[in-house]
Amino acid sequence: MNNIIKFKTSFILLVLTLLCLFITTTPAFADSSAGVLVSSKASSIQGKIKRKDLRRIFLGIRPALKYQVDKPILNTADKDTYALFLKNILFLTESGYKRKLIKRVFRQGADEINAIDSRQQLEQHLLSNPNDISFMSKQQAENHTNLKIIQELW
Amino acid sequence: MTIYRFIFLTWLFVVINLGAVKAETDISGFASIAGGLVTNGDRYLSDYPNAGIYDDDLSFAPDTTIGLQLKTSLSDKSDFILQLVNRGASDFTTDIDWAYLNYNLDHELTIQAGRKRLPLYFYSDFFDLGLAYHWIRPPADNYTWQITSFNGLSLQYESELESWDMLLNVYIGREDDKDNELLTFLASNNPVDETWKNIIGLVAEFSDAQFELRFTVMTSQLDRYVNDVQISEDVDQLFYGFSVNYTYQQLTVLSELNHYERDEDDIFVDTSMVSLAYIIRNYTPHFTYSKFRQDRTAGSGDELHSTYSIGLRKDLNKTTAVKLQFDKTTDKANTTTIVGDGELLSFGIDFVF
Repeated sequence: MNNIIKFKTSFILLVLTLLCLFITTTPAFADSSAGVLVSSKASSIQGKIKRKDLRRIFLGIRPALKYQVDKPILNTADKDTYALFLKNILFLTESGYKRKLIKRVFRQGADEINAIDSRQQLEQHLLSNPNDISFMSKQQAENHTNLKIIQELW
Repeated sequence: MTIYRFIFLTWLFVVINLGAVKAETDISGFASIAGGLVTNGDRYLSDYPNAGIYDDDLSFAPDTTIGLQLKTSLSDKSDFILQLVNRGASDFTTDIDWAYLNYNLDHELTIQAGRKRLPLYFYSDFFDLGLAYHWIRPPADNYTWQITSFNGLSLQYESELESWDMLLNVYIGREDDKDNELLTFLASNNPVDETWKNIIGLVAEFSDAQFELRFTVMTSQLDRYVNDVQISEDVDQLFYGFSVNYTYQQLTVLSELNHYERDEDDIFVDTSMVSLAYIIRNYTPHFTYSKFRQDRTAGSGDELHSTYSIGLRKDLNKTTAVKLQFDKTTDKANTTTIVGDGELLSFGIDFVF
């Protein structure tokens, strides 16, 4: 009988421990997966960019307002963040987005959207081109003191 | 060639003269290097507009294309775009497919003046851009038009409608084509000059994350000369089509229906295509059925051919893909057979730069 009580107590404690772990880790998980739009701290971009316009910018289409943005840069260094950007901002699959960009360049003469697949190179690029914008995880952006967060994306 | 030389010199003039105001020119390009051979039958017509034909010897000419695009920004609102395309099917001569001035009236409305691809079918205006689709070339039975570019004006409106991206394109223009490649080939190499005039067209595209819908309609008048003898004058023609593409996760379904008619010549043509593709990592296997049907009437012969295609695309990286494809075409026409039944094995590499 004691063994059964001990087992039940252990089981309840285990469940409570896991629950506590889940509750305490959930905000951290949410925070690390949050995505933000960034530029150099030296950029002259003021205020937030409408999501509709942000999507147009990353599709190579003129936005309603210019927002002082020079060029959008795809952050392909962080695959998870890139996937979330495609899903939450562009509403496209990677292959669909790729096809759309190629068609726009050679069918409508749109500018190419450059991609950078190294975190260091991306930061360096943004510092050298203050009005270029890109996206990254909030956690990563907060570690770069030379970058400013324009707005949260998801 | 005179018009091409004129356009190219105009572009040079614009660029040189705008050097003083720091006009920026971006250069980009695309290429498809493809080879193939007929495995059953005598010949295989893979590219109708440029009369690209394979036989039982390995050939790289019919589907090989290299394009170079020059884009010069004239101001914050205007660009000049020039696209030179060299096709193996045209004996590796260079054509100017696009040469137009683009002016942004506002962020959604653009006016374009100059030379552009004629946007009849879904893949018409990016027919040569192999990286944008899974085949070696769009289904030949559908893409049988003889006039591929025009000189004129286009008005484009690009906006959003709820969760849909929307593109409306209205265009007017004309094209005079001397020694038209497809018609000259079909007329047993007797030179055919073709003019499409008073072209008026509309294209409407709507797309969201899963669906892509496209409507197209075009009317114009046709003049035709064979061996410098006029055989058609001011003949009205009408083209309309509808495409639906659907993507769900890794699955893509492409479909296209088109209709063309020249009432005065008693010619009525229907083309259709359906294609399934499934992405597995970097690989895209695909299967396609396409059909061309022109019923026999009092004034014209019939034309009836269809093709089954099976193929595989592998994406090597973001800018390069290799492809392998097998096509089996059946030609069941009673009066107007094109090149007869045939099977083609082809392979290629597509890239942009």
